[in-house]
Amino acid sequence: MKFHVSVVVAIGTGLLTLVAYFVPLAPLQAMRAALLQIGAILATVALLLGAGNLLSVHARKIRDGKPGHLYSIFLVISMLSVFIMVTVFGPQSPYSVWIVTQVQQPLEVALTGLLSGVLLIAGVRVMFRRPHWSTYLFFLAAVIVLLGTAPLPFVAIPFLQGFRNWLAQVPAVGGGRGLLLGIALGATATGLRVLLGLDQPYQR
Amino acid sequence: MAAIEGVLALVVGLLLAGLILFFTFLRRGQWPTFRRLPALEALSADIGRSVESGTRLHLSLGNGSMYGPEASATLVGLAALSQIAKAGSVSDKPPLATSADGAVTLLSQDVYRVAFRHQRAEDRYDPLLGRIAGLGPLGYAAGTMHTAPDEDVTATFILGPQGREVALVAEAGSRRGDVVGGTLDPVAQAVLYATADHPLIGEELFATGAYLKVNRAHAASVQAQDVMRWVVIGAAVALAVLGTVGIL
Repeated sequence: MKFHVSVVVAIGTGLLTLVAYFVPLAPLQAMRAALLQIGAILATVALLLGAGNLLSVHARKIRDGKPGHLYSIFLVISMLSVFIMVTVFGPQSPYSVWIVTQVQQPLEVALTGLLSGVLLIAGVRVMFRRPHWSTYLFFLAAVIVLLGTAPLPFVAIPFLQGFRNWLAQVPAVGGGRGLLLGIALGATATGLRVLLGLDQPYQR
Repeated sequence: MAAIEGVLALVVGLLLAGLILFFTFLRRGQWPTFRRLPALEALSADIGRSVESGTRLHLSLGNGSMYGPEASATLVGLAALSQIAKAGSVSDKPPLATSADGAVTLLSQDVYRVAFRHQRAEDRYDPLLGRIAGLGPLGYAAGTMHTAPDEDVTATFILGPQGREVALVAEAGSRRGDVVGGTLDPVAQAVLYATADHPLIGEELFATGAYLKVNRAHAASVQAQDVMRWVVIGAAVALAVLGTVGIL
């Protein structure tokens, strides 16, 4: 019985939200707004549970002395101290803002820098790992776009800028739109499967 | 114009829903034949290998929520998890699923619970098999980078919404074994093309459930998408011709 109730609630809520998107009736819009608000509250509660999950995973890692448990100790201390600081002083306090601007943002910038290096190495390595004409085309396109974008000292390759622009604006945009059309159809079909009750991620 | 777009979206949605229902209930006993997708063949092979050799798989469900447009990719990941968890529940090292959202983690734990119950292995169920690796795109990538080396993972599956930071996850996974990856963002797909062993391009991600035989509806939705793709191509060509001759 519980199974059927969850299916009815999921399909009913989904259909009501979808119908309210297409039909601009005031009561429907109000119900849609209320349902979305309930969803947002539930998502926030789930986030708190998720934080507890993260803490449990790393507490177990420390307890069992698994590889990388030193990072876990650091994570647990950081997590608890930030939680206490933001709870005591509030999210807008200078201490909380300092943590974001002086710790979190520099770390994210460092990771983004690391990402550039990883991509460069992976781009070269893929030619040896997957020798195929499409891989060579991928690599050639990347090199042309890089050469056409970066300022080159002492040399000027004629037509490179124009060719780079054509490459980025015609084949890349055309291919990207093709991909997006397929993705949009796939995403719609996935949503419809849930709405039709044919797929139940909440009780598989 | 907005009204026309709304009606058009409704027509496409109803048509797609009709096709999914039609293909779901048409010849229910038979499984349709699909073209070869090397990435999904590799995924199935990795699952089989992991069960035989008792090694661990890692499924990255991405950093999306169940609340935004990226939820469709998360649903694909959860559907794949149901099959991976069923296969791996009897293994010494059951698969791990990481995400960056509380609701997705709760759903992944529920998928595990049902998979273990299905295999009559409830006593082996561990809620921490579905876990949050970090919050936010870069936080998730940083947390997931440690999953493969710390948990002795031999294959990484990236099936969920992620941006270009997916390169860090794929790179860490490739140091320990095979990486199969698909996501929604076309830029991240290009990144996966360079970093993953078996990238899923475009809508191939949405075929995962059909190739893993989750249920008949997954196969039906791939068939419905194939039909709709030709409808969209026909409409695009017709509109281009009408535009060229000056009717539109």
